[in-house]
Amino acid sequence: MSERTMYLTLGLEPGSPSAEIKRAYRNLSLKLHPDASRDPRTAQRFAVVARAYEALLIIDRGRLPAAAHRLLDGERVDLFSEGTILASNPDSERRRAAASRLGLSGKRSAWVFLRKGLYDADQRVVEACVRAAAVLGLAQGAAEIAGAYERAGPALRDAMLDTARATADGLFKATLETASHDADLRRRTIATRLLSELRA
Amino acid sequence: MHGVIGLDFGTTNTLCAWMDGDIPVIIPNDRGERATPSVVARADLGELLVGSSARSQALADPRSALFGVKRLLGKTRTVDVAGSTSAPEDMAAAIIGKVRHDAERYLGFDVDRAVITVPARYSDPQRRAVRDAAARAGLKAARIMNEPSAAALARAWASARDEAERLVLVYDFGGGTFDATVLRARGGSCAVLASEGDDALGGMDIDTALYQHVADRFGKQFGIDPDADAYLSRLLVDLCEKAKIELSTRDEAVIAVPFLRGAGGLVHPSVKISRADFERIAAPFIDRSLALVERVLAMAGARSSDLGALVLSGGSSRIPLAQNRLSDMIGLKADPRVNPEEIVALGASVEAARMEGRLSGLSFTDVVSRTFGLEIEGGKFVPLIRKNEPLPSSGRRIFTTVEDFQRSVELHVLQGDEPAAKDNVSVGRFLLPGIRMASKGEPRIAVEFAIDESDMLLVRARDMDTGAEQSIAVFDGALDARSPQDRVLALAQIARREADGLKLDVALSAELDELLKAAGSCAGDDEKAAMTATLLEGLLSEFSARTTISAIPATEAAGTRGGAAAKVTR
Repeated sequence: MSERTMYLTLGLEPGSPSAEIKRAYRNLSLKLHPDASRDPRTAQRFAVVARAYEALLIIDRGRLPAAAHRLLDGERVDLFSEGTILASNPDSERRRAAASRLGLSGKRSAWVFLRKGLYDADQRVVEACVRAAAVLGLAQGAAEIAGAYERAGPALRDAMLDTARATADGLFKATLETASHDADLRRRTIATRLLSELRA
Repeated sequence: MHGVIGLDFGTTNTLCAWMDGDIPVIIPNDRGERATPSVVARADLGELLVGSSARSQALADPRSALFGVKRLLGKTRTVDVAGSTSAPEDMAAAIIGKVRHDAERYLGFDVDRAVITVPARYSDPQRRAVRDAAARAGLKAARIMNEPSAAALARAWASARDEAERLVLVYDFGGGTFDATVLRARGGSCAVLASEGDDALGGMDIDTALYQHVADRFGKQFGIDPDADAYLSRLLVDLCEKAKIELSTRDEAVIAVPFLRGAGGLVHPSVKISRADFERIAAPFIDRSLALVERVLAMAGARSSDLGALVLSGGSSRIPLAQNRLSDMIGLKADPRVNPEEIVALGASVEAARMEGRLSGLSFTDVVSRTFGLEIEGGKFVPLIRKNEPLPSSGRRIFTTVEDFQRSVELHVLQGDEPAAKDNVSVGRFLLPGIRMASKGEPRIAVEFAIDESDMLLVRARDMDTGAEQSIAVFDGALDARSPQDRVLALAQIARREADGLKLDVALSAELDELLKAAGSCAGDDEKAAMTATLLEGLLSEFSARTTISAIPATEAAGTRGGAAAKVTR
């Protein structure tokens, strides 16, 4: 697993600070850990998440502390203020940050804001929304993410396939189906392979 | 102390009742009248008069008064009273506000919630308008109840010791609307089987017909045209209504307006109406009502000989011709102890007490009173929930696309019984994006409608091929028109029900608990209620994605596939 994949597995942007790594891990544990989930199929995914988390903590220790903290450990995310930023802040960097914080909130009702973010003019904001949906472990929104894939340019399509591969979440099934008809041969191949893995 | 009252907001009269211990009683108004006329008038100084004062004012200045505002609610946006325009909701609010005020004075405590009755045939926009009017009068509509159901509930409460199972017909002939309902009742429990009605058939129409007859005779015998004189025509309509009521107990009534200026000086016109004259005039209206009774019996799958009890409701049901024709038809007489004018309000107060948790041993099942469905290709209408199905009710159907590579489907939710979508009432629209790329007719889109006792319609749609596809929209007559407080409570109730039977992981059930707790503590904080409601919608949508709509029989899917197609949007 590459370092980049480890971040993606946790639904994070590569290079996210350790507070966010912990936060993402805790949120995911609440959904995937065999003690918390009532679905036996999540155990395997949890093992992958746990491995990525442990590796990232070691890597992170050797790094300089992040200049600006983005999310304190234990800090509550106010869904409404983040949702408002995502919907209407003129600064795309702040919209992007709001989307990832919504993902880290662990609240699946945050989808009411994220779905609107899928239509953002800035592709990086859309990417952050897709990642947030993955880290939330949403069941809803599959089709809307597939729709976002259809609208996306090459860079965003690649990023979405990366997220789909790292999280191996059923959420991306519809996206992969769409991608398996992609005009680009490379993406078509990746999607078809991921789809068969997902079905297996 | 706070209390919930029962309110019968009628076309001609508004009544209010309260459950005193275990006896429902009518609350008189400040004049001691048991019914407040549903009339609003603007006095010269701009003061708004309501009830009998407004009625008197109408005789002095007919253009200053508004009658029958109930028939305008949800149908027109503005109404002209004394040269100034107002919303019908504001006029209705004036009436409801006065009744509420009188009730508070009589009961000695605050009244901020009410069970309000409406005709069973009332459409969603009309129900919304009533809710809105009540809100403007500071009264929260704790429940909007169908009038015939209220009448049936009043009967059930009064005859809770009647242990025999009976089919009951409620013949509700009010001032402005007619409803016929068949129920199955036993002791304190009753269930509505079917309901039919006409919201443009009422006592007011008989008054108008009688007025035409009298005006005609004024013209022929005395050379006076009442239509040309607003004052005279208002006075005559009033006298006609009184004569109609008089003729229910007497064989003859006189309509006289002395000191009128005729062609050759002063005349004193006086017209005698015999009961035979009146019955000839009223017969077409009564025939219409009886035809609806026949229809409701057919819909309930019953014959007239199966009926075990008759409940009369509404002032017009006192007309002897109506009672006799009805008795001939079904072979039953109504309980003479029941006052048809008051039974609806009394029933509403029984429901109010039931909601307060003051009554037990009473169960009541209502039916869906309106048909809901979707618009499909070519402007056609496909019903998903049909009228007269028991509540709560749901309906599912598979739709498909009508164009190649259609990306989204617009679902247009309508209410009504007409085959063409444009003839029905629009309830709301929502867009289902992200349909799988496919040729037309290939995608399978499952649509599910569900309606619960609180009259809230839930619409879900999902692309079955992508598996995870779903979307959710919540309407009640418009959820948006409800106060955030009502909305959050209704959504919390749905969320609780939906979560039942779902496997939720720890995080999701914690989130649900948190939102339910928040929903329960929103009282007085509209902003918090609105926010919590938004989040609950998000959560409901997640639940919806976790339930499978696979319960649709394959044959049904095949049958409607290709045939029914959702409206295109690209």
